[in-house]
Amino acid sequence: MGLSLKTAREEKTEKGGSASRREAHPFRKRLGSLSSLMPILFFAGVWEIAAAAANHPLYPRFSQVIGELYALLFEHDLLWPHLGASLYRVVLGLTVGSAAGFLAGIALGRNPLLEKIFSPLISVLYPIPALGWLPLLMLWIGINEWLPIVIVIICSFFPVLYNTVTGVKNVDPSYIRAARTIGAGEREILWKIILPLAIPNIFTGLRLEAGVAWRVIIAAEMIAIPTGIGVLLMKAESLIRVDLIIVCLLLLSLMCFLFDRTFRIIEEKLTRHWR
Amino acid sequence: MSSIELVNVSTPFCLKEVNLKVNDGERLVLLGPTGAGKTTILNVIAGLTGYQGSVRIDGQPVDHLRVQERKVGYLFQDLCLFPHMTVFRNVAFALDRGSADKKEIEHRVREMLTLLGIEHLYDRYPKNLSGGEKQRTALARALVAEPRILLFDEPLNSLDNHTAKNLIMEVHYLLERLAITTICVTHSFYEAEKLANKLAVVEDGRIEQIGTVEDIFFNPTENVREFIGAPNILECDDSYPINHGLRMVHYGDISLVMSDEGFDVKRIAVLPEDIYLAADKPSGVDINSVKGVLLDYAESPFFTECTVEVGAKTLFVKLPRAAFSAMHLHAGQPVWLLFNLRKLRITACTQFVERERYAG
Repeated sequence: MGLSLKTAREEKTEKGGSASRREAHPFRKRLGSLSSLMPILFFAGVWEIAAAAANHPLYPRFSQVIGELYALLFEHDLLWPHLGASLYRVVLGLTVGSAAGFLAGIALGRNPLLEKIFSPLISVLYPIPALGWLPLLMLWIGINEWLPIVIVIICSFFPVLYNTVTGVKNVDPSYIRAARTIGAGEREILWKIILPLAIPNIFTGLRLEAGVAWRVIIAAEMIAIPTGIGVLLMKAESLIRVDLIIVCLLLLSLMCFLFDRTFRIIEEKLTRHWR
Repeated sequence: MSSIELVNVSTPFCLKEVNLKVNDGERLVLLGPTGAGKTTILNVIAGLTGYQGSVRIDGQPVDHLRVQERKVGYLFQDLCLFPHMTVFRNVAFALDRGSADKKEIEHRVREMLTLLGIEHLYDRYPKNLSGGEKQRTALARALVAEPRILLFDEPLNSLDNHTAKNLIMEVHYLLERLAITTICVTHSFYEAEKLANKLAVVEDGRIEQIGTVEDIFFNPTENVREFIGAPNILECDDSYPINHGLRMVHYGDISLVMSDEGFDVKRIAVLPEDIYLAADKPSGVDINSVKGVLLDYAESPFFTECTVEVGAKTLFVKLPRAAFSAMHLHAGQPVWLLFNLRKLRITACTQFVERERYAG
């Protein structure tokens, strides 16, 4: 009897303990999210007070900027076409550039001879800032819709190429050896062993390039393209609409964040079981 | 089942004219120090490294065949379980070749996992497996495609002593049951004697000695002796069972009591480091201790090697230098030798037992 009572009590304690641990976990998580929001809220507060004190059109208040953002998103149709145009260019450029970088990375990572031939060329081209290509591309393809897309392609190509080569080469050769001994062919080894194991490196490249792509697209659009966030920024500058400029910068930051998050989530989904 | 033969196999910087034959269903253990070339022999057989000479499976040269075509199962030292695949997918990967029937694959994988007692780990990833579970998974992967030859590279190296002891018995049982030709690499004599029905000692890229475990331990060549140690071999005059499952063995003036393994003990082998030496008669029960005379001793930086005369027989004893110095012994002085019954290796005509393993 005594023994069974003790066991029951122990069970109860155990259950209670694990339940409280389960409850505590999301609470702690929420607390963590709140604590990371605190500096942003503090910054917004300081901004609001300082701008109110300055009371000058060049220094809009935080609430003014948020109001403008709301209006642009939900009341006017000024922002959406520009945002859509930039988004389209980034997605297209990123897709083409990273696909090319990915394929070239696999080829170079798997073939030492190809790597030996092309690595000097890549070492020469990789350090050139993406915007450095702009004058050359303006002459070669003209100032048109393709200009920002090609710039994004170039800026996405190299990080993915570099990280894919690294990822492929970093796969422990013993896995490849093991796969061969159990009968796997080279194509199977590539698709089923090397690429899954290279995912973390490949996604590092994708995340890097997504941020860079948004930065260069704005610069490219500022040159002479009729649509895009870069164009909106230039227009806002010419109309001395500081609130609009800040809205565009906030959107830019948001897009970079969303792209980074998306790649992180995909990477986590693909690798969370085994990393 | 298949036989395998290596004919004049050499590799740059490692193997030198290796000749080796393993018959159908035989379990050969390659024993030797690190860097001797044991793993290279396995890699040659699997086709993972270039070589000169010839490898023949069932009498047919396989030198022109790629790794994938040699049909060998290879259990690597670091196991190489694919970290991004579950246990099932790791094992199924050995069968999943293009047009293979998925249901058949699933059936065979489940059968193999059940045979190895790891069917409950089906959907786990390697990072969530214990050392023993990883070993079993890797073994399942190596066996599931029914290879002609099974190669083991230091299979129990990464395991703790307890798990290794249990697993080695399982592996032994499994290999007996599957009767698959196996070549296993180890530097542990314990693993070797548990797994082998043939033992080859590899040193400096050559097969130094080949034979049964008993042959090699009791009759080591000079070089093998340096690796496994030079045991004192006691040719027993007679042995007979006494009470409580014990056996009395006589060797000249030395009488030893040991557990009765059910056969007449012909020889006892005991390594010099497994005999204790004392200046005075040890206290306690007067069993397995004999009086002798210290004939000579040689000191090395860490050890002292003593030659002790017991009756008409001479025994070698090795003990830590500090322990010897503490006894202040001189040549010609009487000493007592103590035999730890767990450290005695005994042999009948065909059987070989290392007592420590059973007792420990």
